[in-house]
Amino acid sequence: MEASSHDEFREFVAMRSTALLRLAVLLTGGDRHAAEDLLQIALMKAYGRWARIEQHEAYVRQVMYRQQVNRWRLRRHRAETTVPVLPESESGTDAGADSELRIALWAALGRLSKRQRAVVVLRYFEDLPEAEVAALLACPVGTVRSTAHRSLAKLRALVPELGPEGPSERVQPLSYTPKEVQR
Amino acid sequence: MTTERVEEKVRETLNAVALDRVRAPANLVEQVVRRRSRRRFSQAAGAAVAVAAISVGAVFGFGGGGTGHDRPVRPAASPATPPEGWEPWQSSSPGASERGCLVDGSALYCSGSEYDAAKIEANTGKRLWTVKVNREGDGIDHPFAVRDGVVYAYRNHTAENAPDGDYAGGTDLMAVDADTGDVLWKVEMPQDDRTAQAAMLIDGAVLANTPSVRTMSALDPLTGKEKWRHTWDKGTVCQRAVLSGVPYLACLPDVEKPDATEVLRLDPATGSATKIATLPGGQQLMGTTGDRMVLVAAQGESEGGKDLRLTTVSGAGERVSRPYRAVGAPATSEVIGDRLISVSWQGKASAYSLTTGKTLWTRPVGVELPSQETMPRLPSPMVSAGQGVVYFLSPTGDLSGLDLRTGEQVWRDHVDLGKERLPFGGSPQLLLYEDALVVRNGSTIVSLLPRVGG
Repeated sequence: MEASSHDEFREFVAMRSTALLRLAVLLTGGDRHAAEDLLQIALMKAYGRWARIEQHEAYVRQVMYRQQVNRWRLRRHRAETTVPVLPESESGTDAGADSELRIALWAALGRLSKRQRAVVVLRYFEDLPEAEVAALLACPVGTVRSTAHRSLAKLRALVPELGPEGPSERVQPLSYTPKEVQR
Repeated sequence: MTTERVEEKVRETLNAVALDRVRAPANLVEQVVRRRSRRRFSQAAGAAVAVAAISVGAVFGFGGGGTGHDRPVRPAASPATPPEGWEPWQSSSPGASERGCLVDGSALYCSGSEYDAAKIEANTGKRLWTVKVNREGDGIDHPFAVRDGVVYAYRNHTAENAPDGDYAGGTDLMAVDADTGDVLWKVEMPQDDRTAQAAMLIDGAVLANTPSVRTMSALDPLTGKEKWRHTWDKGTVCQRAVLSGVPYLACLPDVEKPDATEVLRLDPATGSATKIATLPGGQQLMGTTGDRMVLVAAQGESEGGKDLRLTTVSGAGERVSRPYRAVGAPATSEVIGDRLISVSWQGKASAYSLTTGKTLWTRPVGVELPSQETMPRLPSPMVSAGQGVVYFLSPTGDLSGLDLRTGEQVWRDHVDLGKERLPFGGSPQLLLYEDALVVRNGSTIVSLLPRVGG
């Protein structure tokens, strides 16, 4: 690697590594060691072709997503597994049952498969549409849709407070009042 | 709760995670650089181990299963004899050799930034033919084998950009006519693995990790057409080795602490698998020596520590297991015949007998080693079977030859490696052309005869 590229890489890591590590923490269900491992792997891959990558952050993120979904490693580097980071209790109205629900939900997210968690993070944390998630994970849109569906079903099973999928859902209830009706 | 509500709860939960406390370590760049180098180094070292074992195994082999005594390598280091027609030479081949070289017969087969393969006359340094890169050439891969007039190497699969505008060329395994440089065939690989584990020669075929990461396929060496394939289960990883043309797999579950490693033999003609041994724990394949595989595992609770157990397994499944304790912080190690030659970052070279489980000698390596922080990868040592000398090269161009029997320094020299910056993960390379040494640093190649014992 050229010295200028190395400097650029160093600057990128200084600027973006914390944000990327936070994403990795979510992707790994809160396992800090696994998250650092995931980020290191993504940065290693980016480092090797740094000068040829046009969008560095997008590239690193994509590697992280795909690595998390298709992890194939000979040796594990984790020395220990950390307890997932718990959601912060928010003051005010959310401090009660809502916070407990989030804690339970966060623990349940940690029990999803890597593929399921990647889809959930991309859909609900990165707020990406299904088509973009499919492109990032190199899989059909239908796979993203079905994975997201199964992920939510598993979360429901793991967190009884979420309740079952109600019959009304199967008819896609309107969550807003159309303007035509308001008139 | 409706799906929309559950989605909203998931969204809130993900955004409420206490990420403020998550901070990337300050030395992340160094961690990444070191780790990448270690990985590439260990992968590259694996290739060197296999090559070394093939070339010298017959000379320093196990001697029919080991007698409990170390077989003397030679009475003493012997003078070097120049190859026929060889003269000392130095050449610069920009674009042709930055990724590395392989010596076969009287030629060097190299890869560089502009050529995926280049043939260089080993007697003179003259370039004979080249195969242009598919868009670009980087990394530390180079032709890995030559047989029956065919050179096997890697190149990018495509020159096109990905839909997102980035370039990820992928990898093809290719076969090149050793006389003309014509590409005979190429096969796409499922990942960018260009290490010794990606493809290897077996009896009558090229065994390649394609078309999936869990499959090894035997390819016809002249056409690249698949003859058979062996696929292992999901959740299992298999390391590969070749003993006397027969492929073996050392397979273990892809978990943190594997219970056992199974060693399988594949029929080189049909691919049918036979389990020949089950070893405790997660074993890492170090290389081959003569008719044996060498595997290493952490001993007891010392995972990550220095207490290891080396196990050799023959093609028939016979195994010998010995404790091994690394001397200092290991910088490189090579299985050479019965010997495990190691160099520590503290500048000590040691020879360990796989037969007796004893360290035979520990001596100063004789060259100044760089800091691990500045040069995490060292050139692999090379053994001259004819001379009974193990040679070491420092990244600054210092050369040292130690008597393989005693560890005594028998020769030292220095070559000017220039100031060329190497690709990341790269390091100078030391090769042997018969008794002559070939030192490569980027595009600069120097060939010299070590004046040992004469």
